[in-house]
Amino acid sequence: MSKSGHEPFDGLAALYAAGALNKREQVIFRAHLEVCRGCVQEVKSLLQVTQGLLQAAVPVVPATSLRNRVLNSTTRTIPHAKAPAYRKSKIKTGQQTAAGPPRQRPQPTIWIATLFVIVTAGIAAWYIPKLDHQISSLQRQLVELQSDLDSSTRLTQILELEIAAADLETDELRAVLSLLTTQNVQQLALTGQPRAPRASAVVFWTDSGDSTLLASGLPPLPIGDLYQLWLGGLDGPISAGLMAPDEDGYAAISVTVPDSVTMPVAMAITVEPASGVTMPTGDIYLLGQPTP
Amino acid sequence: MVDLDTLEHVADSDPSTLLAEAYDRHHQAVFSLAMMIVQNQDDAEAITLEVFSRAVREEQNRLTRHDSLAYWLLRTTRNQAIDKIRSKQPTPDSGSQPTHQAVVDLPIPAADLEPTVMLEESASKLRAKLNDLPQSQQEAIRLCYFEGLTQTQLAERLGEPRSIVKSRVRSGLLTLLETLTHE
Repeated sequence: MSKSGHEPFDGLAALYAAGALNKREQVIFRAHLEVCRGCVQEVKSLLQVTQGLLQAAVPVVPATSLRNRVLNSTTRTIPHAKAPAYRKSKIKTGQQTAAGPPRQRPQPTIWIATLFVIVTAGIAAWYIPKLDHQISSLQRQLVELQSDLDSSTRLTQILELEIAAADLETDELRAVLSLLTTQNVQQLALTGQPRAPRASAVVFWTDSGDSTLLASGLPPLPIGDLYQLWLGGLDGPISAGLMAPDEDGYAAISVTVPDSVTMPVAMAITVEPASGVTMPTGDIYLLGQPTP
Repeated sequence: MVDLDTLEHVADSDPSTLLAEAYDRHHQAVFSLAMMIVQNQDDAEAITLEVFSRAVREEQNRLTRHDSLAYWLLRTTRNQAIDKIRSKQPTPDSGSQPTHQAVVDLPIPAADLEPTVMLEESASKLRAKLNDLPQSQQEAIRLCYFEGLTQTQLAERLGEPRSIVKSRVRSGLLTLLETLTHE
């Protein structure tokens, strides 16, 4: 997965596990799961919950008559098992002697019928194994074709996602480039604190108010948490957005700067619950102070 | 928990006996889930009947290739129940699409995550925790999971941006996950 390509999939693991993605979104997200171990782990964890929810209903005992209704109605739809092959025998009373039943002269039609049965059985004995072999061979080919088709479809989906991610990354790079080449761009560097000594970030902002934060070296987040960016306001910290780094620790977001805040101001990044908080509660991972 | 685990097992056994066995083991879970969603005994009985009929009619050749019978029965119950409430209470969300497309199916767990049947004690804890969640998270989870709304429909129903409802579902599920993992 490309560094900045995860944003479209943020939070989708929970919706996927809860069955809240439509068919098209499901297909795309499944393809994403092929390339994102983080999302696979989250889906696996959350599927435990959604499976559990199916069993979390208050136990209610149905009427005892329901059992008979179910068994009676469904029994009619159950295909009957093959009856055991047994031969019916007719016993003729009063016609058998100690020496056995009286012999009858075979009729010509019986000979013809017997011959027909023997020939048919011979053909069947020769042809059925051949047919079985052909059917098995066709079934194998079908399975192989299905497998090839599945692989091709998956590959196409992954490539489409990679293209989409690359487009997104290109757009972001263009936006950053545009920002950097704009006149009067200012920067504020954020440095890693003891919780994230290898992390760093830069915020770019213009006179027009567009601001972007680029961060790297961010430690992986605990499940259920996100990084939250804070601006130093006159009355205390102001939330400027939530972000999740990709698996390499990179993150890029547009910074939400309220009108009441005049840049540059101090900025900090903390780890908070995924729903976000109104005031920072976690440790500071990155901190930046404007140069006086 | 004994399931009808494989096609071979089903094919080699007497279907009527297997059905009776499956009904005796799973009917309460199926009926309870149906009752929870449709809140109506007649409908819940009809759903239970339909679910076991489908297990016999359609599922003999796919029983538990990927999931256990218990999980299949409950997933099917959820889908049937959601279809039932939508057919009875048409909403603007479902009005634009045919009923059979209204339910978004649940993902089939991966092969290495075999669905498990929860003990009643765990199910009870999960139930209690679901009721303890903040109202907004509880509502979001119930609407998407037990009424089958997609994220877009959920956002429309709640009048909130998709990012907010997404966050509520995720936070709620993560809280419930803690309940399961801290047992």
